[in-house]
Amino acid sequence: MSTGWLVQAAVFPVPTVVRGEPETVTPSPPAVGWPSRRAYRGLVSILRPVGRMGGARYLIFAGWCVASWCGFEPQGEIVHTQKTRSVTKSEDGNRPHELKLIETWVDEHADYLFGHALTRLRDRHVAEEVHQETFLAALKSVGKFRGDSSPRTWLVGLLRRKIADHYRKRYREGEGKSIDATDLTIDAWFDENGSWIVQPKRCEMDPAELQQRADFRTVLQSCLKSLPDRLAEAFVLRVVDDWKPDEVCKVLSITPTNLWVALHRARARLRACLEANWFESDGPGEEG
Amino acid sequence: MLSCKEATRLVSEGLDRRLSFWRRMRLRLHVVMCRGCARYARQTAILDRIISDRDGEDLFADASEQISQKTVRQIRSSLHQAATDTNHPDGK
Ligand SMILES: [Zn+2]
Repeated sequence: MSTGWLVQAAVFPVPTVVRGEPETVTPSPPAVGWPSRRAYRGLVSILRPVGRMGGARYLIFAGWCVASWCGFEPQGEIVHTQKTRSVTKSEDGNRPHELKLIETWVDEHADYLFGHALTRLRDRHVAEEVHQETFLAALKSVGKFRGDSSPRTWLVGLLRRKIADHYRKRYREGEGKSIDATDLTIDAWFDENGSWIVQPKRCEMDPAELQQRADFRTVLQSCLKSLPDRLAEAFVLRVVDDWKPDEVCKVLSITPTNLWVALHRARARLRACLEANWFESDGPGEEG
Repeated sequence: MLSCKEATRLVSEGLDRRLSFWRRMRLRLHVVMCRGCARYARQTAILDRIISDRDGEDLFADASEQISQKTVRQIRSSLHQAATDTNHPDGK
């Protein structure tokens, strides 16, 4: 739609350039019926290039004109003016209103978002930085917020984009540690034939119940913290945030093979950590 | 025959994408015969299910570490600054 307007804006000035040179050829306007000599000249100069075009082109041009004036464009125009109006308004009046809204969101969601950022970035300083950027981005694009999701969901969406940007930047510069070829922690669980030295314990886990238990969350979080950075990042993006594998690879700049390795290690370590800290202490399935 | 070490790797990969037919068969065969790997497979699958983000509620959102009041104040002041700066945008 907006390209239509661009093209129009680009097309119409052209005849005015044409108007300049063939002054003498211009037929004199009829004495009556034209509001002004200038308007008549303008129309003639607009129509002349059209006349030079072939019939088919003329039809296409006319069709496009009709479509753009009668079809989509009027709506486009309304949206357009609304947009510009809201921008100008916000510059001299609405800004405080938006600012106030964002400030209430800071009050309500800052803690949650910070926790969210901290688990993913694993560094207080970086998390604070990204957290602040998120609210600034929210202020900038609050006009795009439609009430169809909760503010928190919308803010989390913004935050995730910021986090992804941060990962991308960090790993494109090759700053991050690469994923080790071997994982000694996991290797130590198996004998030289690759069989379990100590088999996993029996444990009946009820997902619905565990999700509700605050003590389980605490254990889970401390287990996640014990993972190496790259394993935790891959795991959180893939499993917690449910990103597609190729997206995770792109953001963390790793190969798919690396990703499978990282996810395997993360799951294996998390399970072992839970076995040690949850199953055995106050977990439900102790007797196996 | 698949070793337990390889089996655990395939278990994880199977949670992320569909394994090829032969790898799936080899894994199944192993898991049927190996109690340790059967438990491992079940527990990691349940773990994934518990952890997956449902409706934006995040089990990993770290509630233990609160944001400092100083940072909140800093966010507010930068918001105010950004709000007044919009008339002459010069980056951020
Ligand atoms: Zn096994």
